[in-house]
Formats: sequence, structure tokens, C-alpha cells
Amino acid sequence: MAGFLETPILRTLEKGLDAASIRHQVISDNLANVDTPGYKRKEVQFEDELAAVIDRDESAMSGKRSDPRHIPLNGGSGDLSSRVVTMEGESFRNDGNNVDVDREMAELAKNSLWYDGMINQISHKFSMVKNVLQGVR
Amino acid sequence: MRFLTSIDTSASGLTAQRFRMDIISNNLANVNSTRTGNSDADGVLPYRRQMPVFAARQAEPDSFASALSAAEDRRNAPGGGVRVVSVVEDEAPFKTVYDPQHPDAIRTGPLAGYVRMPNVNTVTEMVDMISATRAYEANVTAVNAAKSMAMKALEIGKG
Repeated sequence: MAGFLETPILRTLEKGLDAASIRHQVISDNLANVDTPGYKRKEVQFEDELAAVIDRDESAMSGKRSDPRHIPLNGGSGDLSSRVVTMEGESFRNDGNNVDVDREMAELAKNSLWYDGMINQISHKFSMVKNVLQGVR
Repeated sequence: MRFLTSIDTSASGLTAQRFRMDIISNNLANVNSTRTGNSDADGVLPYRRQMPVFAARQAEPDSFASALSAAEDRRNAPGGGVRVVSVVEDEAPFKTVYDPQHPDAIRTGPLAGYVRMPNVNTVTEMVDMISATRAYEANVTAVNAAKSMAMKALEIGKG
């Protein structure tokens, strides 16, 4: 891909979209299993990882990774990824299931809005590049 | 593509809830069925209430790479929805109604003159039905959200 499109912002937005789609999958799974005894709801953790990447001191020394299995030393957003965690506690039903439909629906609405917002941001980025390319006419 | 997988996940929820609805309808339809074709020492056996058993489904890996990563962090993978494992019969005791004229009444013993009726409770079934309807609606909403998110993704770069 052209180098001017490989910006950190686009990469981060891309990761955010990935996280949103995984989160949607997890919410769908929670909703599908609303009547499964013993099922524990799952959650996607992304914002914490994102905050950790943003808070990193960019001027500090960073390690170069020659293998994807290396532990990143103060790397960029390249190693930013979401995690799916199972929420074991907070059960309030007799069948051991801890899915709360109201909460999942709220999460679903939030996630959709978040996703749409990021799509708008990406579209905006591309339209700015387009503007520059059309500028000479 | 992740959104198609999550639509499949919601679809499994829709199927499960529809199946549950079928069973509830069957229970309600058989609320007065005193004969099932089986019998015991006291005469014919009435209908037993049926219940579906749900279990969470693991996500199906679609390629070697995803199978490998799924093996690495199976705990971290989002699940693949729900499935109906089996249908079990409610072992709760039958209701007995005193009706000596009934052809299926018990003839001898301490319960002579009583008719065994199905262990279906109409109120329980109605409550289950409402629960199934709501769960179905929640899954439909999730499908619609996935659809609109996928459409939105196709709009990248159009503006």
C-alpha cells in the first residue's frame, strides 16, 4: 500500500474496527446464550490496551521485534489487540447464567455507535487524501 | 468476515428460541392429553411436559491459521452461539383429578377413580413463552445491528 496511507491513526482506527466487530460477535453470543444454564457472559477488553498504548512515552527507547513472538518493548499500536474475557462472577440467576439482556442491548447500541463513528473517521481520512489528489485540477 | 459469523451466532439463538417455542406450543396443546400410547400398572400414561436443554457452542475454526490460533487461546475466542442438546421430559408428578366416568380413570388401588392428567402448568408455559419471545427479539436486534455495521463498512472510502 502507498506509504502515505500507512499512518498510525489509520492503523489504530483499523484495530478499533477489529475490536468493534469482535465485540459485536461476543454480544451476539451472549444474547444467543441468554437461556443456557451455567453460561458466563464474555466481554471484550480493548480500551484499556488502547489507553496503555497512548500513554506510552514515544521518546523513550523502543525495542525492535524481528519475530512476532517477541515481547514488545514500548512498541507502537502495531501490537494493540483486543482480548475476550469471561466474566465469572456477578451471577444473580438460579441457573448460574449471568447474561443481563438489558445490559447486552445497551452494549450493542454503544458498540454500533462506536463502530459508525470510527467508520466516519476513516472515511474522513480518505476524503482528505482525495482532496489533496484532486487539488491540482 | 467477522460480521457473517456473528449473524450465524444470532441465527443459532433464533433457531434455539423458535424450537423452544415449538415445544411450549406442544406442551400447551397437550395440556389435557391423557393418552400417549404408553402405559404402566395403573393404566395409560398421560403426556409429560417437555423441556429443551441448551448448551453454548464453540466457534468453528474456518482455516488452519484460525484453528491454530483457536488452539492457542481457546479461552479467549468468542463463542459460536447456542445449540439445543436434547429434549428432556419433566419428571414432576402428574396432576390427579377425580373423575370415575373417565375412560382413563385408574380402576383399582388407593387412587381408584382418579384420572392422571399431564404435568403441564399453563401459567409456567405462558411465562416461558414470553421469555422465548423476548430472547428471540433480542437476537433479531443483534442481526439487524450486524447488518447495518456491515453496510457501514462497505461505505468506507465513498465520501
